Amino acid sequence: MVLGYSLLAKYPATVIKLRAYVENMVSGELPDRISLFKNEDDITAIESAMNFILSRLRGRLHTVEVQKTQLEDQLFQARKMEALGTLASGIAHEINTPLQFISNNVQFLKTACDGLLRAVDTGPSPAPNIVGGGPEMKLAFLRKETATAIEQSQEGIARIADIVRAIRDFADTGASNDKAPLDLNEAIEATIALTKNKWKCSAAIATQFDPDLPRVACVATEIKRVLINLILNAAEALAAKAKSASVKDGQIFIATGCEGESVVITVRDNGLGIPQQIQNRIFDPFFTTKEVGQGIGEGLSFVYSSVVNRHAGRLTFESIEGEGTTFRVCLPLGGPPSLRTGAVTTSRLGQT
Amino acid sequence: MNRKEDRKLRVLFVDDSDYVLQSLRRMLWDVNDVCDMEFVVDAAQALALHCQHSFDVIFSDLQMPAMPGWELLEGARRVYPAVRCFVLSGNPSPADDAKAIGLGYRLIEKPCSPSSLKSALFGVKDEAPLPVLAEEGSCHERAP
Repeated sequence: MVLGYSLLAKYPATVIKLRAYVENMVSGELPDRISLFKNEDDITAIESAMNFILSRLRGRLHTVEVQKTQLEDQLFQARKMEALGTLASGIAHEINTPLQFISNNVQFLKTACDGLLRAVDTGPSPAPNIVGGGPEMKLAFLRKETATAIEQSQEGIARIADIVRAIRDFADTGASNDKAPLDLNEAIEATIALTKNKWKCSAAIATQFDPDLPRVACVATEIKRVLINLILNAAEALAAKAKSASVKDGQIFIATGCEGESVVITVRDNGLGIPQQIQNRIFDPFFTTKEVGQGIGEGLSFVYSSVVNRHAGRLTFESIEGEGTTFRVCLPLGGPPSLRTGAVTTSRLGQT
Repeated sequence: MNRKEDRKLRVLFVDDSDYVLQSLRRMLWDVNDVCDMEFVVDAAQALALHCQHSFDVIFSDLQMPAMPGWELLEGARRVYPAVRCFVLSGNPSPADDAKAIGLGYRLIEKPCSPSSLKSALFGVKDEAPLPVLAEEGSCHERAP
């Protein structure tokens, strides 16, 4: 009886305490460890069992957090590579064209060189102004064409090098989240070259760059992807226009400039414009007007989250149906305080 | 005397890259004695030229801004059905491959080596005798 009384007296308090712990845990708060009454063996057993469970849970939670971060990083890389994948066929074409004319030119230079060497070996040709051996090559033709062949081949090699550099910058996995000063004019030029195959059939691109544009601290790979998405978006609008209205007057205008403490990139097209009723949805993830299989509608949503959330910038657009659309990207010159959190603070130190 | 040696092979090259065309003209300088070659950057202009000259062979790029290669060749076939067609593409899809086979065209992947281009050209020359053509035939006369 005495024992029974003492148990009744102690257990409710223990049970109440235990219940409070359990309820907290159910609502998602994990205590560091739980502490019940010390002297009862049974209670101590429960206590240590629960603490064991808690420590196991903590370990699992930590693992999950680590895995989540890893997955987020992988997803970010995958998205970036996905954009590159969309461009891959176009990039192949952009590289193959210069490769084709360089290869033709080198073949020409080889025969020209062979002819010249033969002429050197055999002495002056009986007929003046003819490079000896094989089919006759006129000296004037050779003079003019070798110079142009070399010049155009060098240009082609530079073009390939530019494209390869752009791909490498874009796919750079090492510095994905580091902000660094970026020359936006240069980045836009590179992006135009990289996307050429996607817009050349529907549009011409005109640019107006501010030559004194200051460099902007940003994640270069992301801003390049922003640019790619805006250009592809304009090109698609113009391709749609060319298809539906059979007009091929597609124009994409890209400008850079400084406004106050921001750098502004303007991308304008004279496409069909965005219908009024979907204008408030274009930045939603997975919102797309494309047919199934044509794209998952991730482009503008990415542009928005990168510019606004990760670079503390602003993204606006104006669109008039039938006349075209203008996107404006404003990036603060001081750069975002933290690229990961996307927090916006009003005071900026060390601004130039 | 073999009929195919009666006249030069008339060849048209169409590509939206002027540099590619220039390099072809340069590279093929040594076949000038057996081929009359034209190099045209604009597909519509190429078709107009084909109306005048009825080319025996057309090499056309697939991806061109103003008019896709398929469209150009279809038009060219309508003008002169015997024209031998080669499509060149920097990134041909399996669908392009199938389409080319279906139409009896040959698909050449870019970049292609100068020697394979020349052997394609001479392959045509050796394949079958060239039909004798009326000089400067007009589009209307040749339309089916």
